[in-house]
Amino acid sequence: MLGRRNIRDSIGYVTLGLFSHALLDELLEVKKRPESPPDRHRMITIATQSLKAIRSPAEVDPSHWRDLVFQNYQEARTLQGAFAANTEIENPEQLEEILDYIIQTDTNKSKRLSDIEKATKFFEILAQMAIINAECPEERIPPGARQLVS
Amino acid sequence: MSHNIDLHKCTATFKLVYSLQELIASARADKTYPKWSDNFLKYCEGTADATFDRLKSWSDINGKGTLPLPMLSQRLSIIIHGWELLHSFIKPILDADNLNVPYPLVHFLTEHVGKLEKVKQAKFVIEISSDLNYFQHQHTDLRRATFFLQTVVGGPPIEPRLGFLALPCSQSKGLFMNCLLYHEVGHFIAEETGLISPTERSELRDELKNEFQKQHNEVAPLKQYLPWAVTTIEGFMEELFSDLVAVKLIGLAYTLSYMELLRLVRKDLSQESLRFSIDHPSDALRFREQLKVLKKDGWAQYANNLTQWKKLNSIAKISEKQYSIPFDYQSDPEMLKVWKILIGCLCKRRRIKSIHTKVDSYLAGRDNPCDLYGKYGEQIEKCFSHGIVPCSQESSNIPHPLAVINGSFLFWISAMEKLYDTVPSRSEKNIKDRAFLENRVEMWCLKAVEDWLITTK
Repeated sequence: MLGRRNIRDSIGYVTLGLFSHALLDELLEVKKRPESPPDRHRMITIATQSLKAIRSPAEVDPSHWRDLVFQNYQEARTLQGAFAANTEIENPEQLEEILDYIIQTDTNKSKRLSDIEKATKFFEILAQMAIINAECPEERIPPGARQLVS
Repeated sequence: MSHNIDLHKCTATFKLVYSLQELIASARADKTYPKWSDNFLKYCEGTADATFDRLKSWSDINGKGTLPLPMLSQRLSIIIHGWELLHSFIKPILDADNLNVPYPLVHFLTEHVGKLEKVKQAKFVIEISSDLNYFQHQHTDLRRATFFLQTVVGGPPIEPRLGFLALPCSQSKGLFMNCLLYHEVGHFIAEETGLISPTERSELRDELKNEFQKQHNEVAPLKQYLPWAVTTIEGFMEELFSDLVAVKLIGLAYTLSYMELLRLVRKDLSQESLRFSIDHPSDALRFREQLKVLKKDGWAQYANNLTQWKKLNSIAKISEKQYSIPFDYQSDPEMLKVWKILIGCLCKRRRIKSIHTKVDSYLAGRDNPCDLYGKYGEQIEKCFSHGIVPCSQESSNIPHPLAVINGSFLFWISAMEKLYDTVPSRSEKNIKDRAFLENRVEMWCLKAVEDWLITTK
């Protein structure tokens, strides 16, 4: 009916979509009180740690990998796609910087608001791409490559 | 208009989740499940309740929880996918109620593995699969997905260190083949511990890169295969690791059950044992490494006369040069080169040794199944010969499950004639009678494991 479809094979995309929305909730919360840092920022912290892990994988304890995002093929592929589709945030470093700024205590309110807007837009695009990827069969890739980006 | 569309989507999501919740509630009312499967089902019910609350607040246009409309539509899509994921687990778990799984083995396995320092308090959910194969579903992926789902909709957290093991529906009541579940436990441990460190991965990548560069003049640049080759070798290493974990935890019974599985699914064990598949090393290599552990643990003294042991020894002597590549790649000269490098890289002594070292270190403090078999083996054989469950009136002398499992396997492959003498109404030449008595041995073993669990608790 829907072609060959096994949602377990798309688990990375589903995870990324759920993660993006969990993070969007934190952004919505901080947007209401931009003068102070967010009370809840666990997802934002996971995002920054995950982006750091892309930059310097050797610094990450192997047992912590499993808590991060963007580390497997499906998630890394979608992240790259989101950077390509978003003109305001073009690379992981920029995204990391923006998210870091949002959770700092001493920040400029208008800059924080503008960063929240940028991050919100980015994660909406990321969630949208994750949903599309989860629903559509992807291109043929070498077996096993889904588990690792080398 | 847009709100109506989202209201419709909210309702559709509600109906999907509600029907799953009803399915679980009805199954849990009718049947009992292994402890951690039941806990997972309860977790799904709790998550369903939380999802209903969220749907209600999101669909209330004047409510506090209202989301911007474009975000609501997207959120509903991803929540549906989250539930679609849980959906794919719920059915195989509902099929695996206590009457359809080898309950004492599953219970013992959870206790056994949960005591290991490296994966302390590990617990397992059991699924029934339609394939004649055993699986471990990547639990860390599911854990992350459910964690984020919980963050979005609320509800209970998922149990930490929860693994998902699937066994074939045809083996739901047996014992011998289900020893293969321990291999899946190996995958669980590999996933929990992060088997390959980034440094090891980077060394492996450099090593492969050098090897590919050496071939540069002969064929097209092989560099394009590098990411795939690294992943493939890592996968092979994890398979070997999982075998060694299994053989070290449950002993000879694992290797014998693996040989049994191959007997069912392979046409020609000798030739096919040399061939690598796309995601598994050759059986010859797998058996060779298992044999090292078996010998180190002391199994030779009990298995020397077995045909299977002799077969293992002869397979282990086969040179790595005779290992062959998957059928699909045989006609491609470039892939032939790549696979040759890949196999050479995997079989390097230091790489194989590193896997053994990891297994030894991760399983430090485990009970040696061979020692336990040495202690209870004779008693177990005597019981099976008389057609009774291995037991003891003194609680301190009840045979340990690891001894019973290995004892029943060894009895089955080498001493069944003693049971036929005790039960003359069953003929050794009648396949129905044979199957009946072999099933009985498995049942007695499971009962003995159950007795041990009850007594030691």
